[in-house]
Amino acid sequence: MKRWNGTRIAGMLLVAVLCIAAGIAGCAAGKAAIPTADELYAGGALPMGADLDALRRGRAIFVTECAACHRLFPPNEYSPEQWRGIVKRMSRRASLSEDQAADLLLYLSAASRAGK
Amino acid sequence: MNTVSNKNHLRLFPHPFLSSGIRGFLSAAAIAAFVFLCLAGPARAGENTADPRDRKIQELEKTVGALSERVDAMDKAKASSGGSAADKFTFGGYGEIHANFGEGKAPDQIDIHRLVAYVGYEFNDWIRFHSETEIEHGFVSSESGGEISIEQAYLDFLLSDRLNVRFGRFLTPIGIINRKHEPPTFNGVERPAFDRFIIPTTWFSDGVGIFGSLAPALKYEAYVAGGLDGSKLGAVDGIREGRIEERPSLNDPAFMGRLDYYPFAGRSAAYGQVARVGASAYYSGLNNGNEGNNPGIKGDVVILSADAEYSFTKFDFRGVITHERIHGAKEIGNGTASGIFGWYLEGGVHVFPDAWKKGKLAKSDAVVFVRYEDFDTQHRMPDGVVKDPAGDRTQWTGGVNFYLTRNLVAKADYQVPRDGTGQHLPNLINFGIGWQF
Repeated sequence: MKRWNGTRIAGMLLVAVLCIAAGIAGCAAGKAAIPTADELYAGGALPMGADLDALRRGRAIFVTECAACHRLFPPNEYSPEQWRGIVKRMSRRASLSEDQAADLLLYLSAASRAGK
Repeated sequence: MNTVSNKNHLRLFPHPFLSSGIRGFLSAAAIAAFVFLCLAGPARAGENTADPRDRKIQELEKTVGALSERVDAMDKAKASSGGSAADKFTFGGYGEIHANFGEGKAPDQIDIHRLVAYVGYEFNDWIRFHSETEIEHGFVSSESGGEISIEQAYLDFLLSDRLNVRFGRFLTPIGIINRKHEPPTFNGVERPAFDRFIIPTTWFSDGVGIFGSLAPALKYEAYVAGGLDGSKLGAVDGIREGRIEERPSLNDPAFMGRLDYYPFAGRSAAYGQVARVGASAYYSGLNNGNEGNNPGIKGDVVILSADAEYSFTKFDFRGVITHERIHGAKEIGNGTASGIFGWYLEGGVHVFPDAWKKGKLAKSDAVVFVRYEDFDTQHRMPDGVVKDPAGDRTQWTGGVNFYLTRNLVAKADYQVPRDGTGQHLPNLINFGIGWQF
């Protein structure tokens, strides 16, 4: 029979409190740190004529591939030039194809410019 | 040809003949901008920037600037791509040094817990090699607990976004920590106890499989690999000792896979939300031994696990829940359970004020967290086998991670472990420093 001692009950209560606190804080939160492709496009951060679909793919790769191995770095903390070097190195470690790396760099460069 | 939107022009390693074409386009774009200016006539003095012609000019300037930047990058990439073989290597690593202080007579120690070297090599644009070699506890001898092991050594064959092939030694795709265990990626000095006894990290498998993205927000992995040694399963350690770390037998192979869904990967995510929900399954026969010395165990293990990570604003949450079913547990002996169950939840909040992120602390951060673990390696027992209460455990961990910079973290925490024996287990204070590069 499973024990439902004080430690377990306290643990679940704490988790519940954390969830409620997070919900309250979320309602009062600030702007997005990882802009979507459409937000960047609407904000004019993308060069005229550039590919919106590539920007969307780039954001998806950022969220799915980069976060698989480490915490996400805010795009605006590095310049587009710095991102170029980072993506070149890390795309190898993450086994990204050249096209995927290009999409990722497009997103990070645009998000970097938009966040400056 | 729509030169601007052509994806080839955005590649890191472009076709060598594209540069001149883009340069031609730049020239044409500059001339077009000049002609546009002349035709449109000079802007009237005092006119504000709301004039559509001004906006058009600014857009053209931005376009030309961005394209120039890309051409420069392409030239640099082209120059480096023809470089030495050393350019095809990638190096990295991670490590962590801990200081553990136990309550009462529990031993205190300093421990170079892990030092891991990563080496990768790019054979060409679709074949990559990855490896991690690990030394644990700073010294390896027949009388010490230290060990050296190849944690990962595999080749990736990149065929398409949807289908790629992996061969070699890779991380068993279950849970969170087993796949993402570099010290800056998790809270607390030590990995969760759950990830020692329920999903025993670092757990690698030797075999072959496929991976890719079914959709931009949906990733998968699936492998067949060497299985577990059933004779090493036990009452308190669960499946941990069943891992075969040298030359696993393929007599009774393992099949494993996982799916990960990222709900905010492609759509609007207010408050900086990032989320991942994953599910994994593992099946292994148990008649496997090192170097093919199979133990003659008849049985199998089925593991089902779900995990999730969620961040928004300054809050991070993660949790894992896992159930393991062991068929043939009674025949295995060692007090092995027929059912193992466990879960944990963790919440953290980033408390480092933005106003302090200047100078040397520009990329610093601090996370205060609490984690609660509840797991039982004796959850369900075979008929006639007595349950060992030491397998039924909970653990509280609370502490802080202070990131000096993104990939270097100093940690401190306090742990309260308990088990079903009713005996007082020593509480622990831990300090550590970890890095990843």
